[in-house]
Amino acid sequence: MSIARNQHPIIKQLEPLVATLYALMAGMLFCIILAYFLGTGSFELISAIWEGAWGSPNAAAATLSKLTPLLLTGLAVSVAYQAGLLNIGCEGQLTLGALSAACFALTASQLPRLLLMPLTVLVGALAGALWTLPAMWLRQKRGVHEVVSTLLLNYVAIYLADYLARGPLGDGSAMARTAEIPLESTWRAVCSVGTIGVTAAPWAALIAMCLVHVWLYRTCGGYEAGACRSNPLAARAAGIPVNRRQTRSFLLSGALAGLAGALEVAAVHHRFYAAFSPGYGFDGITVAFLVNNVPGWTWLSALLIASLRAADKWLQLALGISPSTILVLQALLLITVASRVRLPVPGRTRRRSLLGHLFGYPEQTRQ
Amino acid sequence: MSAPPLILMQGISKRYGELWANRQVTLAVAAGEIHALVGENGAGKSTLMKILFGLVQPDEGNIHLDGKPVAFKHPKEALRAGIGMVQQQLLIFPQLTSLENIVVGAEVRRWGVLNRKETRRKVEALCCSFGFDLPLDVHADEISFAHRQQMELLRLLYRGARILLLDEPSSLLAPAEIERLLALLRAFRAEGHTIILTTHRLREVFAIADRITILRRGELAGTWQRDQTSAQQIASLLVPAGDDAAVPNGDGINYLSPGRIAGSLSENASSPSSRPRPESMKDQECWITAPAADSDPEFVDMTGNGGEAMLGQPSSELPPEAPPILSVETVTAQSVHQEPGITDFCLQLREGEIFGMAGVVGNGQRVLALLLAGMHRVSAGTIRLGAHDITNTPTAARLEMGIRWLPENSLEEGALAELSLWENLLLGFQRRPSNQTLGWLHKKRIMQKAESRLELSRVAYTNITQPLSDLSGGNQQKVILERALTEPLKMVLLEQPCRGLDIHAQRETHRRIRSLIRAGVTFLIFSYDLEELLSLSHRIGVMYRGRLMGVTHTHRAERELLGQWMLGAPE
Repeated sequence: MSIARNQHPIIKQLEPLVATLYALMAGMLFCIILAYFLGTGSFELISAIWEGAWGSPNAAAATLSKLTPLLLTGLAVSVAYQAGLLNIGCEGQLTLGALSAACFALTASQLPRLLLMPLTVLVGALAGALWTLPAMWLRQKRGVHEVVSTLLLNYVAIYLADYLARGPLGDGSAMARTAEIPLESTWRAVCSVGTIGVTAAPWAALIAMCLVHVWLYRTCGGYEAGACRSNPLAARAAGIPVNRRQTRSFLLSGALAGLAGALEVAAVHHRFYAAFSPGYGFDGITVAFLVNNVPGWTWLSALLIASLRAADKWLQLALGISPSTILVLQALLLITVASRVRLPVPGRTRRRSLLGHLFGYPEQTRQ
Repeated sequence: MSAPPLILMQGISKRYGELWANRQVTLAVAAGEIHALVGENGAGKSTLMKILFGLVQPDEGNIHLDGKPVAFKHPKEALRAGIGMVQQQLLIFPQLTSLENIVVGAEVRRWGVLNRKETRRKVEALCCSFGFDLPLDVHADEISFAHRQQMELLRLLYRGARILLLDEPSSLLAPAEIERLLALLRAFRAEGHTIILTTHRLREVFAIADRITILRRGELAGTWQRDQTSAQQIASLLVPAGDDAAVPNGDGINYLSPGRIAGSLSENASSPSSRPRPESMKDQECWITAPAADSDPEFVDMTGNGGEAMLGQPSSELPPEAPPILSVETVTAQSVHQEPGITDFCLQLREGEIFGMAGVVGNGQRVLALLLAGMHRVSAGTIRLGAHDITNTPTAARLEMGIRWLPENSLEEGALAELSLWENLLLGFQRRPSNQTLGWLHKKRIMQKAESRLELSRVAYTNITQPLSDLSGGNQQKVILERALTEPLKMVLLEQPCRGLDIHAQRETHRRIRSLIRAGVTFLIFSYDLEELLSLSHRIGVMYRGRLMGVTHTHRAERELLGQWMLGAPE
């Protein structure tokens, strides 16, 4: 009975781009309204954001350094989403990934650089992956929705790391931080933008993005994950072990978030300290949903969010506006994409928006 | 009928895309009558009722209730005006008792507090005056489907509905339960209630309706007094002569066309020659080759297209030496959700056989299907496919062995709606060596194969990468069926294969099944529709509370006995 809606495949491919532009327009509109109330010109406000993010080589380098963790946490959320799960726990996975990477680098400092550098990063990813397992167990054995469990596990992870950094794993100072990791385990700058060195970490994140995209759309495993998202009943009837596939995707998701933390330690801060992440894990949700959870487009939304994040201080300096404005703007972007109305089509189950996921009741858990 | 009608619907039209669900339909219903709406699947009966109930807004037309124009925007308004509807899909709260289900939202209150005593008294009075036999204090998920239906009726009566709309009230009931329902409807009429009901079964129409309105492809074919028409006349009006829906299948075997329309009208079956002869050659072929024309007077072809050669007889005799393919040996399994488990179940199917599994809804059919598909655990017993013991074989391996399961709501349970057509066809076969190497999908090859398969099965699509949900419902179902029929194919479990299909698709499905059994594929068909099973299968079994009550050859099947089995009465 439904009228066939025929879309050209190319148009379908560009959907994430359209979604981002759509959100961007909403953001601009918000800026104009905000500028009116603040008494500044709306053009000044928007250009201040641009200036803050890309106005100088140093600003660009700062933006780029934020790109890596945002890209990876965005990927983490996408990978889980593409298997029908929502990972709200990237913040905790990232924190534990960072802490584990720092601890590993400190204890295994005798290893040669060729081993130590990659192993540090891998240990961080592993820690992030393991931190998703409690949530998976709760979902599959106890019927607890993963949104609830991952969200709460964030706080467990953050405060656990906080305690460890202040106490047993701290460097003895009052700074609530670990000691600096050995030079052999750090990533060195490969080029410099302005006066700031840029490491290969953004490139590593981009490579991870390509790999995830290819895995999702070109391999059996990715196809099966997609089937689990689209219709778990159908997947099970087709002999796909839905729970195991979802666990795999969730492990991968946690690993990517852990990797984000490990790269922050190895390439930027060279140590772990309390309150490590300025919300990269939560920003990952925005990054993923801005581009409809298509991994291949995550670079675009990560770049956008990184620009906003890098501009917040500049806003204070140039216009005297509170940096929190950026948080409001970012929240608005998320709400714009999350509440996008999806028209129900007869004969198919309604796809839920992010808000539906968060506030709707959980799907029936299947054994 | 000189008095102005109670309900007058005039010039009602409703369009869904290209399809007219209703086109200039006029319906007049007198107070205190039982009015039957008859038509094929998709003739627009349900839409018309939903429009009256305010669930669907008409594109054109007006409705008068008691001479006053009304336009219900919402069922709430219709209820306030005394119109209530029982839909095909019953709406129950499984955790509440029947009583609570009936009164929910309209409890008697005193000072804002529920007055349970008074509520119960009111409901019991209703039960008494109409002769309901519904247990009031049992949780709704523990009572039979027939009782749930009574519950819905009571819910409407309790709210003061004087006009009851019933959409296919009998489609899931056993014969004796249908009798009880009809008795209830007569009691309503005696109390002055007005009833509009839709049904496929002419037997019920003639047993109860005062007047009959026929819809054909969304258009009004006419309204008759029951005593001024006959089953033949109604039947011939349902499908217009020369309609391609009545062309027999190519292999010269006639079969029941609108499977559900055929009622067991034994009194009308005796004079087949009184009906017009078919005109086309094709029809005549079918005339000659139809094997069981006279052998079973219980069956009447209600297509009205000269098909007195109703079948009763399935496509062809099963060769007696056909080897057994599936044997279920004293299998016991736990229940799944609300579906009872099965106990000491024994069943043997032979190669190329169509076995029909009948039974009232919720008697363990689902559990049996899940067991055979490998999606439910066997507690005791053995299942064999040929020589292999498949009791504990996982689903994926069973797929490769050729066991396929097409669930009842194949779109809800089998479709990947937002994924592309090729991905839908691939599901379950993605690990085959021809489709992947070391986990890398051969996308191009898979897509080419998918294209050629969809072309063969005549699915209307534009691009193999478009999402399944872009297709029409019928085409989506075709895609899912096509996937289920991927080679190698040994055994297919079909649940309600023709539910919700229009007559052409139904025919197409039956034809497909018949052509496949000649290739040695075995079918186990679960259906609530006895007529469909009688027209299609070699043998029929009846399930009751997780047990197999009995098995009979279709041509020796006695409807009475099957009906008794369906209600659990021993032989």
